[in-house]
This record gives sequence, structure tokens and C-alpha cells, in this order.
Amino acid sequence: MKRYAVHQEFSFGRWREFVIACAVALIALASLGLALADETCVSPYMTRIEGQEEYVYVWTLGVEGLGDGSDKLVTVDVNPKSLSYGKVIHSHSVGGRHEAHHGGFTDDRKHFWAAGLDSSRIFVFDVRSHPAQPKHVRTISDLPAKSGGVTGPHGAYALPGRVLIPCLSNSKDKDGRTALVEYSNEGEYLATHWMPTKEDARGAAGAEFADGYGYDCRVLPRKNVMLSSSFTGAENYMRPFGELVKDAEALKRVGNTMTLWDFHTRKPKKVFQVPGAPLEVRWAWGPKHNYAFTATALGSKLWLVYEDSKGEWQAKEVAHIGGEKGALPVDISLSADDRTLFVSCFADGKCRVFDVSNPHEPKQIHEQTIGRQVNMVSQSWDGKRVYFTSSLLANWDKQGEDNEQFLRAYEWNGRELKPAFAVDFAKQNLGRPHAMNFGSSKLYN
Amino acid sequence: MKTLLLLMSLCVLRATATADAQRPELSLARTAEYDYDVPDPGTYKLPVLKPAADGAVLGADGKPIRLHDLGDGRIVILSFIYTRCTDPRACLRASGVLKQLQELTLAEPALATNVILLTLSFDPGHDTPEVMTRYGNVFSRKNGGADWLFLTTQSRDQLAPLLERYGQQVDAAKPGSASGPYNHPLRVYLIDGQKRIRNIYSYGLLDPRLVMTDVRTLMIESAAAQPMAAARKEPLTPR
Repeated sequence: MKRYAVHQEFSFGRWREFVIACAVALIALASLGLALADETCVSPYMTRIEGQEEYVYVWTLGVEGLGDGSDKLVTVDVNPKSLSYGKVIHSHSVGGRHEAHHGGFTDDRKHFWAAGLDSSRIFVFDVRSHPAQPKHVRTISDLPAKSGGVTGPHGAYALPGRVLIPCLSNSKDKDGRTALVEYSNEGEYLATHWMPTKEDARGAAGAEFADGYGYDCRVLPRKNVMLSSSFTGAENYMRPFGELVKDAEALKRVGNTMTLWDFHTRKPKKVFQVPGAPLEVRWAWGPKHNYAFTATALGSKLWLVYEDSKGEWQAKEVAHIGGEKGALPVDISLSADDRTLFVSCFADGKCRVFDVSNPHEPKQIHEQTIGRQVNMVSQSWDGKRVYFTSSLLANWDKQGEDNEQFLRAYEWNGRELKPAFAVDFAKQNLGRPHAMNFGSSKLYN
Repeated sequence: MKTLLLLMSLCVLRATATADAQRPELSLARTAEYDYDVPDPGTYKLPVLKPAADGAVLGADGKPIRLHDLGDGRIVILSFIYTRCTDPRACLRASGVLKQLQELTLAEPALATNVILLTLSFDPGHDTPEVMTRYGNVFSRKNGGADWLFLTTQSRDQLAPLLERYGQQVDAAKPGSASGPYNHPLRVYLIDGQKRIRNIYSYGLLDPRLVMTDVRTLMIESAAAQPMAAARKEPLTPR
């Protein structure tokens, strides 16, 4: 069969029929689930890295008295063929400490948006021009003013031509009442979608559970749904952890819900009761896998949000994480084949690995200490490389010798994590490493 | 005056209700890729993403024309493609969906006259007006349905600002790439009658039912803002 192209000598009557037939067939084929994706937890709308990632961009909290003391985007070379493999090759400070937390790329992967939980500023880096040397090109400072008082931008999630920013708090009373905020890729404010509450449920089922809190938010396009989770407000996340845990009243002001939204209309459909601060949301990738995982940090449980046989969306606890006291699971990473779930646990610094082939009955298959504390976990699309960072929040990290600050890279062989390299962010005067996102020069030509 | 406004409002509501009852896009089945029921038009808002950029393009006759002059107040669905693309998830898919949209407008004169489809090549070196015309003959109906124009540009220099301002990324593919000489994300733009981008569809979002629902949402919005606009003028662009 000839390659699809325009050829003058071709009979256009026959060609027209042929191409229309091909187009229809290809649409049908695509609908069978040929969706490709990127590293395992990024937006499905984003340009993807299909092979070896070259860089890990680490959004890092500045520490007073350490280096320049500022939040910064640190670039680590992770290409095994590079002479600087495992080394910090670039660092760009944004000036000041903003409680650097999460970030994400625009859908064209030209820019990386790095959010500051405390200042509510978003720092936009150009990663296309020089992928090894991201450059800070713009600061978005108008989020609270434009959004109607939303604060604490948690991250940035790529949608076509726009960025969805799930937030944690508000400027009025700094509790967990918050919203999802949208900006265009150019950095212009578009819309605010407040999390549902009992008083403002906007038709969502389960309104009696709605607490208005937010944290992560991700989309399953083929079902036209997005799922958000909930944490706590600035009054808590900016407070010293030791002080917070003694304040029983403050600990009541923590998110206990997840919300399923109609993605296209941005309207909440159903609120689930998921007690104990459900944090990261990870949709499965399989074309018929209509489910997502989350872990509750304070509940120390693994939860499944899934579509049942009747087409109804449900949420249920599917596994306990850690021992009796819990392990404070703070991040999860689901493999591209939906079979393996990595869970990083801040309390004991361990990574617990679950076989989630049957998502309704996860089984722990491995447990390994990563450090004295561990927060984020990110894996490559092929599942062979897994990266961890140590910092949770500036005021929640451990003290003294337990306050290790690192990026540690491992190779996963299906049974255990084999150390590949490590970067000591404290020794290198960089700060507290938090979110990790992958980069590659091969994305751009 | 109040009575007139009330009557006009009722006309708009009635037209909307009629359209809702017909909505030919609802005859399209849910698929594994678009496995949901589409929302009702007008029940949600489409924020203004940014102004739709203008620029010089070449029509089928090879004569230069401004992109903005083609819309003539209609809702524009703009798709960037190149004819050498063989990726089933990209250009062929976009043109296939626009074909579906054109078919859907057949049953509803109001849709056919309020919507124009534009396919613009980002490969001007290869996709001359003649090539685009032949490409258009493959996909577009000869008669009936919304107008569908197949456009290109004079040169890469003329094209570059359009790609930049729309945010359509185009990169060179590896030599010998099976899907063609360019890497590019699938992008189709929904532009309202005031030349503002109101939605962007990429892979996973280019559901013809959803696009048509968005079109209806814009029509309802426009009718509510300007009741007199409900009486649509004849299209100026020849088929």
C-alpha cells in the first residue's frame, strides 16, 4: 500500500474513497485504545518522553543560610551516557522562599510552571530553548487577586492550551476552602472552579460529605471525568509540624474527600468520603481501566476510585500502608502497565511497592528504606528508573540528623530498587528537593 | 419594547429547544475513546482563551486573503495539518473529524450557515493551493453543510507568526519517520464570531459530539447577547 500522500497522478475519485475509508478506519483504531502517554503520572494531553529521560528538574525549597537561601529549579543530568550523569548541571534561583512545592509542564512542554504554596506565585521556566538550562522567563503573581481569593497553588496540570492549577487554601481565612484555577499557556487567568461544599454542592451527589478542600486534580479524558483530592489549608501546612500534631482542633481541619467532576463542564458530579487527607491522584492507563488510586497521608490507606459494573463511580479502601501506626504515605507512582504501584512513606523513609494487577486487592511485594525521610517518587515510562526526593514541607521536614535532603535514583528490576546515584542537596547548598519532572532535548527539533 | 424583547427571548429559547431535540450529533454512538454522554449545550461556560490571530493565507485559487476575513462573523473551527502526515492520531484524524462535523451540519441549516471549517497546512513547501484543493476534494462535500476551506501560506516566513500565536508546535521528525517529516501535537481551535479562541481540542478531546455541543453553546451565548443575531445572514464565502 502506498504511503498516504497527495499524488497528482492518482485517480482522485478512487483516492477520495480510499482515504475516507482509511480515515474512518484509523479513527476506529484509535478509539480502541492506541493512546500513548508520557512518564507515568503526567497529563495525557502533554508531549511525551518515550525513551531515556535526560534531565530531572527538581523544584527545590530554599533554606535560610544554605547557599543563596532561595527556592530554585535544579537540573540533574540523568542520562547514563553523559559525562555528567548523576550530577547537578544547572540551578536557577527565583529569589526568596515561596514554599516551592509542585509544578508541571504546559501541554507543548515548552514551559515548566513551578508553584509556591506560601507566596502563591507561579514561576514559569522556558525548558525548550535550552533543556539542560531552564530559564525563568515569567512570574505569575495575580492568582489570589484574579481567582477571587484562592491561594496555595499546589501544582500545574497541562490541558490543551491551558494549565489547571489545583490549590490548597484561600486568602480570607487561610483554611482549606479552595478551588481549581485555570490559566492560559500564555499566563492569563481564565476561570476559578471552587471545590464543592455542603452549602455549594452544585448538584453533586454526596454533598453531605463535601468539605471544600483541595490538593491534586487529574483527568481521565475518555470518560470525561476529573478527580480531585484534599489536604489542608495554609494555616496548617505553613505551621511547624511538631506544633500542629499537638493541636487537636487544627488536625480536624484536614480534607476527608475526593470529588469526581464532569471535566468538560467543570461541574462536580460526586463527592466521596475518603478520610485522612487523600493526596496524589493516579489514573490507570489501560484503555479499559476506569479507576484511579490515591493514598491517604493521615489514614495510611490506599484507596481506589472506580467505575462499577453499573457505570457508577465508587470509592473504597483497598489496602493498609505500613504498620499499626501508619507510615504517612505522601506520594504514589503507578507503572505504565498499571501493575505496580510505588508508595513513598515520609514517616519511616520507606518505599513500599504494591502489585496492583487486581486494583481491588493490592498486595505489597516489596519494602525498602530510601532515607530517613522520603517524599516524592517518580518513575520513567518504561518503569526501569525510579527517583525519590526527601522534602515534604519546610516546616514539616524532620529535624537534626533525620533531616536528610536528597535526590536518590534507583533501577527497578521487578523485585527491588538498586541504587544508581544520589545527590546530597544539603551538602551542595541547594535546599530541600521536592517535585521532580523529566526533561529531554529530543522533544524539540 | 419589553414585549418585543420577551418575544425575541422566547424565539431564542424555542430555537434552542428545537436544536436540542434534533441535535444530530447525539446520533453518534459513544466509543471506547469517548465513553461518556455529552453535556447539554449552554449548561457550561467556555472561557475566552485568547484572541485568534490573523494573518495572510492562500485560498484554493492561490490568491492571498486574511484569515479573519474568512470567518465573517461565523464560528470557526480551525485545524492545522499537513497532507504528508500519516499519523492516524493527528492530521488524518483531524480532517476525519471535520468531515464528520460538516456532515452533522447538513441536517441543520442554522448550523451550516453559522459555522465555517478551515484546514490550514503548516507545510507550505509541499502543500500548495493545488495540493490543498485536491486534499479538500477528498474530505469535503461538494454540496451542502458548512463551508470548508483548505488553506496554505506563501512561505514558512508567512506561516511562522501564525503557528507561534496559535501555539501550534511543529518540529522536524527524525529522518525516515514513519508518520511523516514533522512532529506536532494535534490541535483544532474553536473560534467565536468575535475572533476569540474559546476551546482547543487535542487528542482525547476531539470528539465531534463535544465540538458540536461547544458550537451550540457559542450560538446560544451569541443569541442571548444579541437576540437580533438569531436571524443569520447568508454566508459570503462561496463553496
